[in-house]
Amino acid sequence: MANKSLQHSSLTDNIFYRSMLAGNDAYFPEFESDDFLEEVVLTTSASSVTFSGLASYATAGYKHLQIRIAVRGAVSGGLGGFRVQVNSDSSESYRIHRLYGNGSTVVSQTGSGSYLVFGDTIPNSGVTSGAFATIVLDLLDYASNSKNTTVRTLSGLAGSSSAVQLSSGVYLNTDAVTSLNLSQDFNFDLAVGSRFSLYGSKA
Amino acid sequence: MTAKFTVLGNTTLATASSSVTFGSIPGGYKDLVLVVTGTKTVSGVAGLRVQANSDTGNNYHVVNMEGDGSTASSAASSPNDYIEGSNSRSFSTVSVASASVVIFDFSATDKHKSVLSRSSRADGTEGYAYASASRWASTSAITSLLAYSSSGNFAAGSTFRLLGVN
Repeated sequence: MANKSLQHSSLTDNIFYRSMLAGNDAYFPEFESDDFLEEVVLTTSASSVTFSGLASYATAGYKHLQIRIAVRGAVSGGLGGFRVQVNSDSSESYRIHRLYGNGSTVVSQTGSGSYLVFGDTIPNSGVTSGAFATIVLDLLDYASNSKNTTVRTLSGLAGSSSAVQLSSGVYLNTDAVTSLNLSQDFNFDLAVGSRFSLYGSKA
Repeated sequence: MTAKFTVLGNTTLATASSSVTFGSIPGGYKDLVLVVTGTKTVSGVAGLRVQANSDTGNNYHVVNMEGDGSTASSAASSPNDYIEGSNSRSFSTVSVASASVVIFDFSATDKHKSVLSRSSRADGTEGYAYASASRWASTSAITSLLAYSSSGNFAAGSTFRLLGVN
């Protein structure tokens, strides 16, 4: 954001401004610490997407991570589950709770297993062509080695197969997160055009 | 590193208005985030609605979920003539409500436009936690957005902020 010079200011209306920001773009300090880190956009279908090397972002000072996802599945059928695995750990170390609305009822569920599964999320070929589900996944304090890792998601898709979902998951391990593997449940492929964008926050 | 957000538009209502339009939205960003905070001008309640590219047709789909402190509910409107940014009782004269509308891949021409929204209202009269998913069933790139009230006007001082996500 470039500050405008008072020498060339357009402030000629003889009005007293109490703020030196007058005439400049509004300043939003809460956004200053968030950065785009990397991205995967599928040009062919794939069974999973992995973000590795997350330790380097911790070294760079990023305290929290966010993955913004627009995703579609590549198999026959309706909505599939969205799966997250931490540090390639396939032990029974994950638990989730989710609250989702399907357009008629609100359902609360819990589950545990060898990865986090957020059900009824990814549309496959049986769902309206061109419709991608969206997921915002937040990973807080991912680099801590004294806390279990908490994951929260907001996801949804509206249309013939509809669901909006709030979920929280935990990886019951205090190791710092160095990699994340994202996939569809049952190892069904992810479709071309699916996008996974990684952001870091230093605040 | 590239900053996550770029401010594309910022409007604070100087007088009451039923809507705000963001036009000539540039491409080059991945997602759009519309953040609205404000109140309603006269008694009653209202919700935030959004339309893309002046499309007033039944080309949208919505599914929502909300809780009011005693009841959780979910409803779907498919098809619909708007993106739902909040429930219909979020904005009032009683307290300042906030709503955020996130449109993914808004400039893509090979995808429908999927949207996630959240809003909140909490005061001595009513309270809601709300989330929804919407979809504009069009592969056109979004170049304008209309944010409007479902009933009456947003009060002076209400803010509408449009961000591009890099």
